Amino acid sequence: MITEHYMDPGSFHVPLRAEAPYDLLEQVIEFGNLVVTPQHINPPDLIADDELLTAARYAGIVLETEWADGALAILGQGMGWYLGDSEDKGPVIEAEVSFSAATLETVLQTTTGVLPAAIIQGDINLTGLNTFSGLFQWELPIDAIRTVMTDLDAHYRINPNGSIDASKTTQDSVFQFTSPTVVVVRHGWGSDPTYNGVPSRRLVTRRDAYEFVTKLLVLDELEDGTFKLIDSDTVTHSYKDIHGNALLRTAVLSKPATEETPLTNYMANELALLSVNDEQEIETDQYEISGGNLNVGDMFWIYDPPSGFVDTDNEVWFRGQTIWPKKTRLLEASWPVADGMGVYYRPDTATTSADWIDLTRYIKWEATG
Amino acid sequence: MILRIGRWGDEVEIESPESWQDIASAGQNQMVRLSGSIAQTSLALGQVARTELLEQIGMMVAVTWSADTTRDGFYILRSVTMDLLHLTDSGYIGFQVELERIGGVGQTEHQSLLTGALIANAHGLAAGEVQFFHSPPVGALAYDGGKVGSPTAWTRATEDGSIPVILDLETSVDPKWAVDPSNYYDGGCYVSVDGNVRAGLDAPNTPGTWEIGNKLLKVTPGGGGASNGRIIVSHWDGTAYEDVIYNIKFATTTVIPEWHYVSVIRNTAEVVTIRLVRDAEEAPATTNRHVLDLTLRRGSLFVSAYYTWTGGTTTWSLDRDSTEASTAITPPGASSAMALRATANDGNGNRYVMGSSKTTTKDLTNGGLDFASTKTFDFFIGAEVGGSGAAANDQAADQCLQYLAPFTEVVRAVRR
Repeated sequence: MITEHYMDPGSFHVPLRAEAPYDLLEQVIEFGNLVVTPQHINPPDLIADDELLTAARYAGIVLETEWADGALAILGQGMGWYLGDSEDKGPVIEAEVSFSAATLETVLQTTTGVLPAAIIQGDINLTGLNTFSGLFQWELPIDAIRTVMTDLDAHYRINPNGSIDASKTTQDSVFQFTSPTVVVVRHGWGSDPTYNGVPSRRLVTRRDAYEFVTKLLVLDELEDGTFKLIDSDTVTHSYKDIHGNALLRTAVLSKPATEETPLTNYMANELALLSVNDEQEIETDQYEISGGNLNVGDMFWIYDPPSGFVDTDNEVWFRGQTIWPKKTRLLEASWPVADGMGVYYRPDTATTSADWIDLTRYIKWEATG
Repeated sequence: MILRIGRWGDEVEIESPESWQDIASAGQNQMVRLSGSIAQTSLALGQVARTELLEQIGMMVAVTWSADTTRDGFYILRSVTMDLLHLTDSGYIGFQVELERIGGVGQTEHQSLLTGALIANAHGLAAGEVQFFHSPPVGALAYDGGKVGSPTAWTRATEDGSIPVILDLETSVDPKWAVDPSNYYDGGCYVSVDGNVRAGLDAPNTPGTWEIGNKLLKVTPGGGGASNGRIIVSHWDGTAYEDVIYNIKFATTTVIPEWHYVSVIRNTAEVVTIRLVRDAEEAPATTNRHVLDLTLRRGSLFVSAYYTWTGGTTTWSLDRDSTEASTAITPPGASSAMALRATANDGNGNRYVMGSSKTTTKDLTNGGLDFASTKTFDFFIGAEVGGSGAAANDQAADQCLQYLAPFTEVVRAVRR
């Protein structure tokens, strides 16, 4: 099973069959790459190493090999792991890098920017983006990139070939935003000339207020050891406490590395993340949707009035009826490694695709349903 | 003794089951297990009976049994077993059914989850100017629209009797209503393919023999059994259905001559949708397709349609197949004419109505709407039953305003 996250490494767990030859399996070791292609290419050296990675459906870093009952399972995380992991380990930015009114393209560079050598710059769309001012030192690249993305209201994707694409969140260049083509409905699903309908075998919706805050406080430690408090505007809301007072919840944050003054953009974008969230968990039979018409990070339409997934500002003609779906972003998708795909181990020492090891015949395929 | 499980038993009498077990467990809904045999006059009808029972799995169904009306009520069909391979010597097919009882009419009512908004239109009509309407089944009572100050209510005459039509609903309201299980499907929408009413989405591909209806009107294909591309819209006038035939023209001049596929998209008592698909038959074939979705709501006097063409943009026409002069209709509040209505009553005393949310060029002489170059367009076809004497709220202008105010509806049973 492979789990992809929006702007997060995600993880994979790929079990192999017990019949896999041992001499092949002993070559699968940590820090090589697991690569999954949409179709099996046999042998893989028919296509050049970099082209195969570009065409791959998924790539990750092997971090664990697990032997159980005579069979090997390969586990690891996605390519975003090269930017740092959730346990604060990774290629820490040791030498200070500072930016003054720098474009995102300038920030997302290796050597002079925040990118480690493992991730190179891909397609950076600057449309609608402001510039960034700030400095980073003793931070992981993933944290630095998140600060920049929050400040600029941008997002990014790490590709299987180890490159990073980025754009403003309202642009269509990295992820689909303006006109989604996938519609998730509880009933009456199916295809349409204009849209792909995805049946929700299980549709769970949550309205989550755990992270809700009404205000942000940022503590900025000055050179003389004193602290400067920077506070955001208070979010307008109608919630009350038990005594009828306006609900007050404040989050205290460390000052981010951005030099924006007075941190207006950064705090506004951070407050938007710390709101009441509508979350959907969708179990679907159609695994091809993820990676086909719908990728993690893309927007899609979801229409389920009983759960509140309605937005009367969006009119969509779908399968003979007018519906008013909500536009929402796919944040996480788990999908099985299914029969028909190609699965390879790319050693970290590989220089050509001839060095790749084809694991396809030995994969314990998971059900698509 | 007549048994009906949802739509099963609607057309063909199902004899009393040989076994009816009521099972009650603490903390759970009552379960009912039936087993029996059905007899059909042919294997084909037996196959239909099997399919239409299986298609209702998981659905809420109204169940009535003439031998014990205390068991009439609303159930969820949980499992079905039917074995066509083992016909008995007498031609009977055995079946087993398991139902979860929701309740009888005394403890159960229904709630329509309605979601609606104004269709974006080229006629300057705003949400406050259109007519959101909703109809429960014929015989429904205790309608609660949740609106302070009763919304406007009137009735329309269906083949099954008078159906309530509630106007001016709040788009955020989910009305509740009650109906006897024996009336649940009265005035409701249905899909028939190959002469048999279908309970679900599984139906043969016979583009010349489908029918959708709501007992106020029905829509059928032209061609007398083999699709000739035409659409026949027939309205109930109190004693019979009166046909009016329409065609659709590609590039404004070429009549769509045939539909190749028919699929059931949606099939509930409150709304049905079928999809017609045609291969463009260009050289080479199958490079493009025409798709026509026809939707009918319970209580509606018109059928809604949405046409999609996967090729390049072109012009289109929706025309009366036999020319009939028309008058342009501009509904109250509109800035432009939205529809056509026959100028004079036809031989059956009715006047056809056709319109669109889009800007169209009106052919008043022959009766047609021309659409500018596009790949998609929407339209509706209705009629003023009784022509110039059509009742208020049923007239052409009203149908325009009702067309622009659609609801999606999901019905669920709720405890009183």
